[in-house]
Amino acid sequence: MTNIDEKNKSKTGVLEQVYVHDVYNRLGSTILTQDTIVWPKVRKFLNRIASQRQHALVADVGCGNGKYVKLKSDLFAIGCDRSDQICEIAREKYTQIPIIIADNLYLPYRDNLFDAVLSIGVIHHLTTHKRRVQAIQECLRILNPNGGQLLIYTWAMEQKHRIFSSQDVLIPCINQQACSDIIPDKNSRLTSPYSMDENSMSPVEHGSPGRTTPSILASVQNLFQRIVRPSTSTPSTPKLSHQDLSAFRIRPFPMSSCCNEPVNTNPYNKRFYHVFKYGELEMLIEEAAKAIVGSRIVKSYYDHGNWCAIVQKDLNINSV
Amino acid sequence: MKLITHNMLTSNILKGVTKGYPLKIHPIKVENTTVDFNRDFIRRILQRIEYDTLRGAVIDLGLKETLPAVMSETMQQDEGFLIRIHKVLLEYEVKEGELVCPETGRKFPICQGIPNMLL
Repeated sequence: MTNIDEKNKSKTGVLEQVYVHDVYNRLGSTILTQDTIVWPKVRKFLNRIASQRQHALVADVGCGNGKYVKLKSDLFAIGCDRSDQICEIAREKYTQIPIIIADNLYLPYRDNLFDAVLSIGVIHHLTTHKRRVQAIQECLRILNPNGGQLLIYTWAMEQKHRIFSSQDVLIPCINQQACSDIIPDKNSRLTSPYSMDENSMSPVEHGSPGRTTPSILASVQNLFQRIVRPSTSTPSTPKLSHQDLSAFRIRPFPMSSCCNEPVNTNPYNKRFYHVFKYGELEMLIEEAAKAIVGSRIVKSYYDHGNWCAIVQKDLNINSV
Repeated sequence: MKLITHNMLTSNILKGVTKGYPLKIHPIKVENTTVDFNRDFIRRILQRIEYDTLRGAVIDLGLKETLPAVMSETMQQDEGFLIRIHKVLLEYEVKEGELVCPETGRKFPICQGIPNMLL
């Protein structure tokens, strides 16, 4: 890998650390245990897997609080998630649920093992096209080559009740309680080599909705300042320059007109999403499938604001 | 972490590792629970797991249920054998310990029953 590749890789890692992993770790059990929505079509997919193969092996990659892992007793399912907090919450909720902490870009599972793999609402958190391809490749690698199936759900750009201003967005979490113990360090000063005028920066104040505009950028700078301190979870995090942040084209999520709740605008709890356009998921899968022999899309559809696809892996094409 | 989970895990994610399987277990705290025996499930899962890995894991944990070196066809029909497989696969939980990569020696911690396989 070239020097530039190394640098880029670590930058995307930082972005995901701040706007995905740290947020999920902070959200705590209140939000996460309340997330019990089981998409009916995902349930239907699992029902079909179970009926085709009794005691089928299933991997839920990015399993969250384990709701799909524990859904069907006639399947053996194992979950993995990047967040240790989430895994612990899943364990508290469902005793002895098979769960591991793992990165979906580096799945520590044997090849060709699982009859089905779920990737529900996961790859839209990855910040680059390359990482999203790699995530799908990992899911396909661990699939059984005798008709194993992968079900992917990702957030769609095309939504009924909201308009995304771009494909790469930061979505605020609507929960006052989750942010109440986060106190921005008012004494923090930006000493990093950012090119922006320091006078235009101000420490973000807690609970002041009117101040969202000095910007996402200010808060992001502030956040990175906190991150590069040794007390954080990623001790050797590199710093992002202003140019790099612009390169990700991050735009604040526009407030939905049908949302009456005061949306929590604490920038510490915004999650990164790359929302998918029509046809994009299929293209991504086709690209990923080049590296995994026998993979092809068998179904793609739109469900509750998500673009979805089922990918099947068959080494013996004639058996289909 | 139960031994059925351990059977699926590799350290293939590490750079320079060709196979990374099976992972050695250093147990620190192991709990024994009772799980309902499902004969069909055990017979099916036997086809999917790596038997040698399970046998090695039983030795790593120092369990009283020992497994024979070779698993014959007749054994797979034997109720006593199936119950022993059930016990070792599902009834032992490594609460605290480590998983060790067989090629690099890199250790992955197990805390509160959850293995941490992050790079």
